Order: sequence, then structure tokens, then C-alpha cells
Amino acid sequence: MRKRFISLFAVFVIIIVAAAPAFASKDTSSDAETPHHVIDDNGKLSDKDRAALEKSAAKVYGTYGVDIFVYLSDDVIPHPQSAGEKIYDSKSYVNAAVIMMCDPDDTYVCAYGRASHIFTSDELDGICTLSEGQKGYRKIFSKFISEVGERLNALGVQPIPEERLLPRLVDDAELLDGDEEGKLLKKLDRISEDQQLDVVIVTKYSLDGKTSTQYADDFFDYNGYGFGQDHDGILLLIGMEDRDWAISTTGKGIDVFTDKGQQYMTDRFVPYLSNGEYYDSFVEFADLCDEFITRYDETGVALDYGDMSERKPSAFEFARSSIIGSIIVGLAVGFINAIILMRDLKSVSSQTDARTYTVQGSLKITTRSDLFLYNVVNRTARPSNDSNSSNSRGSSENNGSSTHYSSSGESHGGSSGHF
Amino acid sequence: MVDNLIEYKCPCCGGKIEFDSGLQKMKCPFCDTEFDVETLKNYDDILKSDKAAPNEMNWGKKPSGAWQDGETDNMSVYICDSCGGEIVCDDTTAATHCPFCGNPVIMAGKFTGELRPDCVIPFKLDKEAAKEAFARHLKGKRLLPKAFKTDNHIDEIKGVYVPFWLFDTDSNVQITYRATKVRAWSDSKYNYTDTRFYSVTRGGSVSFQNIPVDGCSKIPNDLTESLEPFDFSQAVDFQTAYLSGYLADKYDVSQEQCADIANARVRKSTETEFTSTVVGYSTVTPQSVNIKLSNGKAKYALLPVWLMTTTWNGRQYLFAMNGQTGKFVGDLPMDVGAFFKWFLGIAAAVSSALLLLSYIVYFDL
Repeated sequence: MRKRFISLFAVFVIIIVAAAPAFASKDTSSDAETPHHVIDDNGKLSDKDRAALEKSAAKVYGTYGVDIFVYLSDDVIPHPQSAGEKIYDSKSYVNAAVIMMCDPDDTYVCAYGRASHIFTSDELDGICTLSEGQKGYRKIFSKFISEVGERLNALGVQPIPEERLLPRLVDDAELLDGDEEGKLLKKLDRISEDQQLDVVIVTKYSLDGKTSTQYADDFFDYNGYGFGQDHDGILLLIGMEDRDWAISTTGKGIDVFTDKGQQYMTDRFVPYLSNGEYYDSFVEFADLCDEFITRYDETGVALDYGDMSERKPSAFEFARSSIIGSIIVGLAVGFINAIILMRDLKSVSSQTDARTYTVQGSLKITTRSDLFLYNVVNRTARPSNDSNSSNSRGSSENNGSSTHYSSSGESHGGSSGHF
Repeated sequence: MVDNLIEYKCPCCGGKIEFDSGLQKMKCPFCDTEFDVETLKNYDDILKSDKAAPNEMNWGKKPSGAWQDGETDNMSVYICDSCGGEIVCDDTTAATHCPFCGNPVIMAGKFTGELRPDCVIPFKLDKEAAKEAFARHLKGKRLLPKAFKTDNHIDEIKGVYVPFWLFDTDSNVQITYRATKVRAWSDSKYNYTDTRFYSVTRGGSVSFQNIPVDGCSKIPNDLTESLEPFDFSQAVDFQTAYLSGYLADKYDVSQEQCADIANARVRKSTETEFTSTVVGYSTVTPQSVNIKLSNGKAKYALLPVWLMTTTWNGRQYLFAMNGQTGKFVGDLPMDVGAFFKWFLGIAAAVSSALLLLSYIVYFDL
């Protein structure tokens, strides 16, 4: 009996020992996943305060996808911007953060990642001033967190999901029949998987009061489209209410689809939209995307305006233009030739001058004066290169992609119009 | 003092110009252009001299050759019923058809003429040469109706001395041009163009000799002008003997009427000659042209021309060959069917070749 008890105990001990690392590792991993929103070098916050602040910061992160840190230093912070950057970088899973730093002298608020595109420096100063007005660190920090939350709410910022939430074809405006929808979705999936760049088509009836560009950007961001860390992708949005179209590009998509490249694409697929041939238009769009990405991957350079002529036309395009071109050139050559033959029959023409009858050497110039009268200087302004607020990226001024930031702070390229 | 009271007009806008004592220059109050006083004086002188010399294009001396007694005795005149042409020939030559319109002619009697020709260029080329030239003229003309070639009776070619007025003159000219030189440059903000305006004057003279104008109304002027040039160094004094075997026409367009044609040609050539000496400018526009003709002389000459008329599809075609140089002229009828055959044939050939070529390039064959 005793022997039995010992062996049972031994088994129990072995199980415990064997399970301990598993528990331990689970424990540490969950520890690492929990963000420490509050870093208190000073020990000025009670545990209760810290817990309350952590909770409200986690709530903001959960709702808007923007993380919030507060850092209480016992020393003077010489470079707040870089100190904040260190905190931001140490939390590798975060791509948007607002950080408040307090040292014995001053308080600073800095934004990083996407958050730096959501808030202007004036807004950050405003948040800082408002929070500083509070008494005690707990109140300062809690005001700061609630203020950031309110502003994110006002801007309509949402968290960007890690995974794609919707299929690559969302036909809410019911422009395609079931068969077409299936074929197109298959095509988009194939292109996207092959190229590792999401090609998305979205049709909506109403754009909820947003501009087509805003709507396309937000739809892309908040539905988790895009491959990789940079969310590589392109989205075509159709808004039927005002007959809007918009393209939004993200990540690598910005480099692949330059402004001129997009202009070329829209010249090709928008006419179909105008005719109500939605399926043809979307297929054309998808094929063009495939072609643009392939070309970019092969050469490392985006298909740009100047390259369009180098692009090999499809057999149909080629046949159409070569037949029309050949006939026009042939008719022109034939006509010119016939006119030359016709002129062959004419040998009678009037003489209008007496050049042949000029007595050689009789030309004498006796008066020769070249009198300068006056001069007029005209000045016209040269067309200037407007520096506008949108940024650009790409090889040169004319061939690049202009970019802007969406409400989530993500950088997008794109274009829009009506059909 | 009087000089100061003279009113100058602005060369730029035509407004009355004033002296600006501050600038010590003449300044136009309307367009603000500034000028040196000297420049304006010179410009004014040019304008005045332009006005003082009106265009003169009068031909002076008239030819005054008269027939000597008995010289015209052996000459007969035929008159064409159809076109009214008067054909002169010596008694040994019988004209049966009018060389201008191809109709039969009738004998009118003895020749009576006003003026005796001053000179004549004798025929250098005979009828055979004219026939050959005609055959050559028809050769290689792909749009010529085939029947036109075969149906023609080139035996009807007639050698005719056609009356011409020959004009000699010295042309004295003064031309004022408005010329500009344009210079363009730019800095970082602006593009500039500097237009400098000049008043350019060229004066001088140029001589012309033996400008021929057809004095026969039966032959269109453009046809005889197409026969030019004649080599007048081979012209000889007129003798009735040269008419032997050939027909001749009497002038029926007077020297005065013909002078207009010569004037226009002299005027154009003079302008061209002088304008070619204005170089180095961006634009050159003549403002005033004064041409004065002096030492004008007109001669009455007979020039050798082989003439042939033929009627095709109800239309008359007149061909002529320079009897001295062999230059053959005359518009030919066109076969409309052949025109389209060539037009569409070449078009089809070129189109197919291009199409084939483009497919080869496209498919990298």
C-alpha cells in the first residue's frame, strides 16, 4: 500500500515537473503579449492607478488600433522624440502609438507610426496642454488617454485587422450576376496570390458622404486587405450613387501603379464603365494590374507613361491598329502617287518673274541702310512646379506616385473620377 | 530752328512724338517707345524719299521698223474662219489648216502690214524633230488615255513664227522694309523675347533684256511662257527669206497691252533680287516699294514655234515646241479610270506590304 502510494506520488511529481515548463512558458508568453502602457521609473503611481491607466489605454488600443504609452522618468529627458521612439520600437507589434513622457521639468507628447499621420503636431501640443492642466500624474495621464481616445473617435479611426476580413470582390451594388462574380473573384484571387499583392474590386451604392478616395482608402485599411507588413495592394472602388470610381494603392502597390500608370489604366477601363459594361471593365482592370505587377517584378521599374508605347498590345488591338494604319498610309501613298502621275500630264505654266532675263552683273546697290528703330522686350512667366501638399515617391518628378494619408494614418496612392 | 518744329510720327504706333527733356530723347506719349533724335530724322528722310518717288513703269521707245517697198510683195495672208487668226506666209507656202485651231483657212489676198519685225530667231529644228519630241512628250505618261496616243495625226504639226514683243529696261528701285531681329532667353522665373525693329532700305538698279511677251492672242500666254527661254544671242535681223516654208502670224496684241505683263515680271524679279540682299533678320516685310523703269525699249520679234492642235472628246488640245531649243509643252488629257486604277492599285500594294511587315514585327517571325 505504501509502495503504491509512493509510486503514485512519484508519478504525480513527474507530471508536475514535466508540466511546469509548459505552465511557465505560457506564463511568460502571456506576459510578453500584455503591453505595458505605463512605464513608471519614478514610482509615483500607485498600483491601483497603474492598473486603471493600463485598462483605459488597452481599451483605446482595442477600439482604434492606436496604442498609448505613458512614461514617467525620474531624470530629465534630453531628447523626448528619440526616447519615445525607443519605447515605440521596443513594442514591435505596434504600428501606431501616441506617447506621453514626463520628467521632473516638463511633459511631452509624441506620435509614431501611423499615428504621426493622424495627429498634427499642433494637435499633439493641444493634447499635452490640456492634460498638463490636471493635478497629479494619475489625472494627467488619464486625461491624456481619454483625450486621445476622443480625438480618434472624432476622426473615425479604427483598428487595422491583421487578417483580411472580406473577399477580394465585394459587389454590394449588385453590378455583376452570380456567374460573373464567381469568375471575377477567382481571377482576383489567382492574381493576388501569384503576385503577393491584393487586387480588390469593391462596388457600393452610396459612399456615406465620404469622398471616393477616402472611402476606398478606409475600405482597404479597415478590412485588412494587403499582403505583408506594408499591406501591398490595390483597390478599385465604384460608387454608383454619383457614378464615382477611385483607385487606392498601398505599400508596394504605390510603387507599381504610378500616377501616369493609373492614368493609362483608367483610360482603358473607365470607357467600359461608362457603357455599363461592368464585368468587362473589371476584367480589364484585373488584367492591367497583373501586367503592371509582372512588369515591375521583372524590371524593378514601374510601367510609366513613357513605357506605354513599349508595352506589347494585345493581338486584337494590334490587328485593329495595324489594319487601319496600313490602309490609311496605303491610301495616302496611292493618292500622292496618282497626283504625281497626274501632274506629269501638265507642262504648261505661267512665268511670273523675269529672272532669266536679268542682265548678268547689272545688279547695283547704291543705297543700303539698316536703321535700328526701337526694341520691345516681352516677359512671360515660366510654368512653375507647384509644391503641393501631397508627397510623391518614385524615380523622378514626372514618373512617380503621389501619396496621401488615410484616416487610419496609412499611406496610400491613388486616383479618382466619374464615369 | 525750323527742324525743331517738324512733327515726327512714332514708327511703332504712328502717334505724334515729343521730345522728352529729361531723357534727352524723343519719346512717344502713347506707346512710351524712346528714340534717338538722329534715328527719327533718318527714318523721316526715308519716308519722304519714298513719297517723292512714285512708281513709274513706263516703257519708252517704241519699235519703228517699217516695211521697205516691195518687201511684202511675195507674202500672202490667210484668215481662219473659225478663230479669226491671220496667217502670213510667202507665196511658195500654202496653208490649208489654221495652226491654232486646226480649221481650214481661206486665202485672203496680199499681205498688208503695219510693222516690220525687228528680229527673228530662225527655226533650228525641223518637222521630224518636232514629231519625235511629240512622241517623247506622250511617252511614259501613265494616265494618258491609250486611244489619244494611237488616234493622233502628228503630220498636222506646223512651223509658225509667233510674234513676240521683247522688252529691255533698267529698273531703278528703292525698297524700304520693316525688319525684326528676335532674341530669346530665360531665367528661373521668366521667358524673355527681345524684338528689335529696324527700318531697312535698299536702293539701286538692275537691268533686264529681252523679256518676251506673246503678241498673238490665238495662243494662250501660259503656253508661250512655258516655251521659254529662247536664246536671243542667235536672233538675227528680219529678212522675209526666213519665212520661206513656214507660216507667220501678225501681232494682234499691242505693245502697250503686253507691257503690263512684262512690268509685273520685272517688278517681281526686282523685289526678289533686292530682298535677297537683306540678310540677318528674323522677319523682313516690304513697307514701300518704288520701282522706276528707264531706258525702256521694245522690239518686235518673230520666234520659231512648232504648233499642233488636236481634238479629243470634244476638247481642243494645243501643243507647242520651241523651234530653237526643242522644249515641248502642252497639257494632255487624263484617263479618269487609269487615275483610280493607279491610286487604288498602289494603295492596295502599299497597305498589304505594311500589314505583312507589321505582322512580321509583331510576331517576331
